[in-house]
Amino acid sequence: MKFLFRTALAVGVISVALALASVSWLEYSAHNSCASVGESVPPARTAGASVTVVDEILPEYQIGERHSVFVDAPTAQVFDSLKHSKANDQPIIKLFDLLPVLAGKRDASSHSEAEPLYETLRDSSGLVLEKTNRELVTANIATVDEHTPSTPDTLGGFVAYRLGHNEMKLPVSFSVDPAEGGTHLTTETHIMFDDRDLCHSFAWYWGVIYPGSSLLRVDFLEAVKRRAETARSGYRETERMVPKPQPLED
Amino acid sequence: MNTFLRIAAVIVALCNWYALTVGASPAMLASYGPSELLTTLLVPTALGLVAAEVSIRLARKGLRGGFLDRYGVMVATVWIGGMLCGVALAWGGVLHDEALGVIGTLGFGAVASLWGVVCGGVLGLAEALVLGLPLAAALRSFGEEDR
Repeated sequence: MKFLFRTALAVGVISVALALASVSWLEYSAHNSCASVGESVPPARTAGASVTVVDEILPEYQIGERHSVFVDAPTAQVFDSLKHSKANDQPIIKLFDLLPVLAGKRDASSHSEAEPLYETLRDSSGLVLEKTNRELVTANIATVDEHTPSTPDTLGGFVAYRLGHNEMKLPVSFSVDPAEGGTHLTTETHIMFDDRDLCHSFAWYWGVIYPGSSLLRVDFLEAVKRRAETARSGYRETERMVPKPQPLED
Repeated sequence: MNTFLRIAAVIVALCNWYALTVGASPAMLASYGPSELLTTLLVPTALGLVAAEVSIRLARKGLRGGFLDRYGVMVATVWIGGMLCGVALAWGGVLHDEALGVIGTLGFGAVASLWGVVCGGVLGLAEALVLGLPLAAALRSFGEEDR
């Protein structure tokens, strides 16, 4: 049992060290991210990169995430798979789904068959923009207090909206881009603030939940990738099995 | 005895990794490419071996002691493996974020590691307290064979 106690001690020390490192990083990251609040900072853009709808709707932001996977399938097939993939297709996502049930905040029996995430996003409140078979963006004016802001229902209106107290602009996008030999499937989130204190507090919250949030996003992209690549290999198999028609002899 | 410990640690790590990443959909494995399959096999295997080696090197006396000592070692081994797997899984999202640079990856990696240690630690310890009993009992017979 001595080894078990020494292990527990080591775990405690490592946890404290990681906690200190995490707190230092989160404070540094929040301070850096929010330094640009209220200033107009043109975003850094890779030369030749295409401008996405989410970049048009919110080119300047303080907090952002971008996850991308390469899919060995054409863009139309990948976007079609995105339309049909459910948010809880991956086991880790199902595990996160259990958390509110374990905390007693949701009844286990109420966890019915989930609809595709695409449909959930399209039906959500807020601005929904879509570039056919290329990109889906949902954009909201989110708030940390109880008042419900009304999100503008046009792209121009959203871009021009002046943030009030405790408000932030929050677009989320899923996009497909053709690449050599396949498609890049990407999800991006941009968050913009007009209040440095709010930005700082939210950056802390975002940093704490970031590992879980990014894991969920990557797992969802992987689920879409698997669906698209399975559909593509099924199509190739069918092509091989269906005999080519023989030309008639004269 | 050492071989049994290594094999047991690897099997426990593989089973947990399988449950968390593939879950109730074994058909998902059929859709994995060669590199994904290799990652799914190699990462938990390596982490299980690391956990076993830590115990073999630091708990020699405990492994040859009474049932309680062996139980303590097995619990610690599964617990360490759980935390290592938790950290590895937590880093999965961080490594895929293109908006982070090197410093950002390391910074958020610390946050991910903390989550991995906490979540992997809690689940790993719960599992270890249960699995430790049969593993400690099995370890005894392998220890007798070694003699």
